[in-house]
Amino acid sequence: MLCEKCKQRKATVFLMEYMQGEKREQCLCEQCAAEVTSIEMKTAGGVLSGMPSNSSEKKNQVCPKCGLTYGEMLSTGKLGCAQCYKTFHQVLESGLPSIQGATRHVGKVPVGYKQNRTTEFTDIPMEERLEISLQEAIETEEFERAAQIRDQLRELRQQSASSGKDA
Amino acid sequence: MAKWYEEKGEFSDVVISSRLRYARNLRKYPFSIKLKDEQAEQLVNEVENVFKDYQDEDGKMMFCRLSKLSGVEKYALVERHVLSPTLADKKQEAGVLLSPTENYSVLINEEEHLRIQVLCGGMNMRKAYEKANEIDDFISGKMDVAFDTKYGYLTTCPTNLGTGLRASYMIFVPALEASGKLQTLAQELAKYGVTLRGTYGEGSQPVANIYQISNQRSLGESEEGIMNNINDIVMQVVKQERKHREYLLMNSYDTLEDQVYRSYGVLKYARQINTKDAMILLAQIKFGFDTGILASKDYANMYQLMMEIQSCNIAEREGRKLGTAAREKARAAYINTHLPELV
Ligand SMILES: [Zn+2]
Ligand SMILES: [Zn+2]
Repeated sequence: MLCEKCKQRKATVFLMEYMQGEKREQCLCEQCAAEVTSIEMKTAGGVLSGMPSNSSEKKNQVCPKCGLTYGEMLSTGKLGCAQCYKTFHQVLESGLPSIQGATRHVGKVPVGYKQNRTTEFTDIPMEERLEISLQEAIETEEFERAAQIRDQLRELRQQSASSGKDA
Repeated sequence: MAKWYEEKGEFSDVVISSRLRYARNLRKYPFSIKLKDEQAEQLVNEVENVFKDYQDEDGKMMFCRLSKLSGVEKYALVERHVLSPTLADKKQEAGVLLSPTENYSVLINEEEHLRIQVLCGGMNMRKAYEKANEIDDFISGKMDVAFDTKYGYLTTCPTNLGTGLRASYMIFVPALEASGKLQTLAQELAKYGVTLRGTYGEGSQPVANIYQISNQRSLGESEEGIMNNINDIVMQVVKQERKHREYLLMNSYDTLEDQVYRSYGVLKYARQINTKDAMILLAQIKFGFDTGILASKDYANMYQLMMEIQSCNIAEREGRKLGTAAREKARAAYINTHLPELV
């Protein structure tokens, strides 16, 4: 079967999405699937339109610990290790609401669990954390908060750009 | 301690069992889709060793390496709701830790590294929950469990993420099924994040009126919240099923009575029978006991009989490979002698 979007490559990904409460199913190739999911994330609400797109960067992502690729993750719907949750957290943030109806755990914590380990969500760089908060704000339609976060992000990016590479 | 299917739990006329499962992974190994064969070996050994220290009032848990079990033994455990088919068919090394009563177990290297599961008879999720927590706390006290403050317990499948909790009730709903309302009910339940599916029979053709009802979501709500939600729903189902039974009994008692006794007669004297036919007739007899059309001296444990007549359990009891005809004869003979005596 050919990809429904480019109609050239073989479809290997079955994508199911919920947009504004409507279910949509598509058979896509890996490349198109990567594009579609990141586009969908970025266009939600139109608030993100001013942001530089880094979707090609996203679809080349590979988990440094287990080697799971972005494409593999989309086609299997599974994760390869604990680190994957950090590597692919942006995709998860956009996918979890339709699978789980939530993006944050409430409930039990393992016995003797200590926070702030290296794999913790809190260790994610400020920029990525803001991106996620922005996503959440859009999903919950808190557009005022979203605009604030967007400004913060812009500021942060300008700072890191002026202070040279890799701040 | 009694086996879960021997205890007559609450609302046992509708609720056969309560099962709670926790999905857990260890931080140091890749998850199942990326786990190498030698790591699977290590994982199984590590968990086996850790559980050498585990003991409760039932004694120690028995460890079983799946590569050491025959296909029949594995599937007999599937039929008794201990193993999942996924684990029974697993190519890599896998294991199971099993309590002497088979009431609780830990599956090793299924889709998630560890699957803690506890079964209780009737409607008693609370009891299953307490036992599962005790085992879970034992595990996280000894091993580094993959957990994240934001996402909770990390899992291979994002559908298990968060609490990793799956609460399932096995329910017997012949009257609701007869009323043709099950389809609508399933759609209704889906809105509350609860799924309903047949336990026996193939695909969309469930037999014996037995269904499984479980929570779909595991993230964003506490363990207590998930359980309360599904408990409320199951209570509604119990009420509705009872109401429909009352209605059936009021309007067509004679027909039902005749049907139930005929089924009993057939099973008492059948000389060979396949699983499907046996299940359908046993379900009718179960309905007879649950509604008081039939009465027996002791508690008529029809569900135990239903598990015991599944193909691999018969093969395991007979201790030999059986052809279809021999198995159907063995099944009939077993039912002939194990049907509860009527009073
Ligand atoms: Zn394509
Ligand atoms: Zn990974």
